Amino acid sequence: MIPGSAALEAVELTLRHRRRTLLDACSLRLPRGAVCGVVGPNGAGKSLLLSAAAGLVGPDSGRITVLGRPAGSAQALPAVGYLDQRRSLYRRMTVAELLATGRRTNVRWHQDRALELLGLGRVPLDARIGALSGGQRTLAALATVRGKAPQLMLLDEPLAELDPLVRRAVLGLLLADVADHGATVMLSTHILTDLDEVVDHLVLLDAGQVRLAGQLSELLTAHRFVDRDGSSVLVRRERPDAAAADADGPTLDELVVSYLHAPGPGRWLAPGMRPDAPHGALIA
Amino acid sequence: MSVDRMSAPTLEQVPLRVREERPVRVGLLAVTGEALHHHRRLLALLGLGLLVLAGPVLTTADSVASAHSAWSAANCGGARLADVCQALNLDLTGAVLSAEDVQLALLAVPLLVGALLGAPLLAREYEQGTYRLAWTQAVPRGRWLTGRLLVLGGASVLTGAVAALLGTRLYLAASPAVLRESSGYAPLPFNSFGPVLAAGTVLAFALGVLCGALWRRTLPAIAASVAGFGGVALLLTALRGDLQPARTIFPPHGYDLRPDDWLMADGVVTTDGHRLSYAQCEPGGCPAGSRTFEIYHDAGQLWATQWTAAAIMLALAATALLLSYRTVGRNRL
Repeated sequence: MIPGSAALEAVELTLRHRRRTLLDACSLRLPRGAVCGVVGPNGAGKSLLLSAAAGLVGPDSGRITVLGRPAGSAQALPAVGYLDQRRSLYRRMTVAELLATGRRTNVRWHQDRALELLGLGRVPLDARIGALSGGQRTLAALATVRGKAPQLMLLDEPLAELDPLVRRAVLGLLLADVADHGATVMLSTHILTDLDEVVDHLVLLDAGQVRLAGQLSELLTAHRFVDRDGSSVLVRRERPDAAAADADGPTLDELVVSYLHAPGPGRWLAPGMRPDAPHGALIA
Repeated sequence: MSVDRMSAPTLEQVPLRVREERPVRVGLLAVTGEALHHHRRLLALLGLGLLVLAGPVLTTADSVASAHSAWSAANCGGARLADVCQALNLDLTGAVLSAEDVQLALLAVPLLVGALLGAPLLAREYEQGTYRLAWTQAVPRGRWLTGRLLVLGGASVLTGAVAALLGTRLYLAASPAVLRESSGYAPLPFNSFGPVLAAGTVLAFALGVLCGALWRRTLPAIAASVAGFGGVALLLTALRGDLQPARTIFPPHGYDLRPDDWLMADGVVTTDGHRLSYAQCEPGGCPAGSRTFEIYHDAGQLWATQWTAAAIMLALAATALLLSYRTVGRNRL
């Protein structure tokens, strides 16, 4: 991969389907080693952003690169792992056959890492995929992602069907990959409580637009509640009235809800997640 | 050598090149192996199907051949109406009729290959969403498609070739034709042997792949590919008389072609050069002094006609596969 490149960079990424704009000029840059939560209401474009990063849907305009390569290109594919929302697997394969297929269709394959994930849900290797429970199927799909040892993991609702114990264990393994191998994780979810302790970056999507993106600490410290006409209003810190001494910082929940309910097109990209044009121009 | 006479060392400027990682990739051989493994059950089924088909074709060919040689040995040509000849003729007619059933089964080979090998290749992946898994491993989807086409397309070529050989055995068993129905130009035999059947199988496969790429659902893709191939086959069958130049002769009497020749038109040429079909001759008979003419395809042109039709089908198949690559490459939502 191109050294020094961002894990993911989208510039004015736009996707349309039958005159509906599903992703609307999304721009963001995710640094390497980040664990990034993608949140937003249903239909916000979370899944679409991830599948665009996986190279499955192409931009109608703008561009998206992963690890410095065009998404979905032959150079990008070996280093990117993708878990789709529906866990699309060949139903008639056994779990063992699924792993064997992963081994044959990838440049690197770490059977131990795949097996480690399957062990969390006691997924039997000789079971057919079609016979697995929803959670086990998720684990099987995650196993193919992790066996590939990708530098960037794009995980669409990875925790949705897992019970709380397994959920914690899966997150533990993913975080270990980030810590030990410098992997980057981008995961979508609509359960914010999953994320608080795990993610260090956040992207909030709404109606196909990036409303908020940045390092978590950066986002939280950049916003303050101020008292205005008797009600508490969230404002960005650079605004003069936010400097008031008694200003409170928001929680993650409050921040997200405030942006989703903002009357105007509230939108803010922390400096660390803004794609910088000159670097981007080199790749294109 | 003194130091001062040495030229000062100049540092040559080497343009700095960003070191690229060696492109790591899963080679086509491995991709093809994976496709072979993935479709192993389907391929086994296909082999079994061919064996099941071969039995009746070969036994029918044998009975046609023996009826045909018995007829030829009896030298019943011309107008001999002996009882023996009548019995032999009945035998031969029966054998040729039962061969037609088998030839119909051979016609189904391209349709089945298109429906079972071609159409599901992409449609199933789209329908079940598994393309999202298949195309996000390290293999780019173009190479993935090439692997699948090499395996399933190769199987189609083999199937088409075997079916064509079986059909040819059946056709040759009744050759030279005694009955007009077993002429290689007749619609049923024409489509059930030789290059036409082999190329038709490949075309049906390719159309199936393309329909799968376009419709993205298995059943509509199967229906579309069957309709598409059926349409092309009917069109080529209708046009088979135009694929090679027809010959015109002016024989002393009409109706003297062999059953293997294909009469396109006949009639008379009047003394002033006009051609009239027999039906156009006035009730009083054809004008005095006119000569008979026959426009026909010679039996010897049959293989050239077959190869021409096959070449058209192969060109269409190649086009369909190219379009499939393009459709798959587009990131359609």
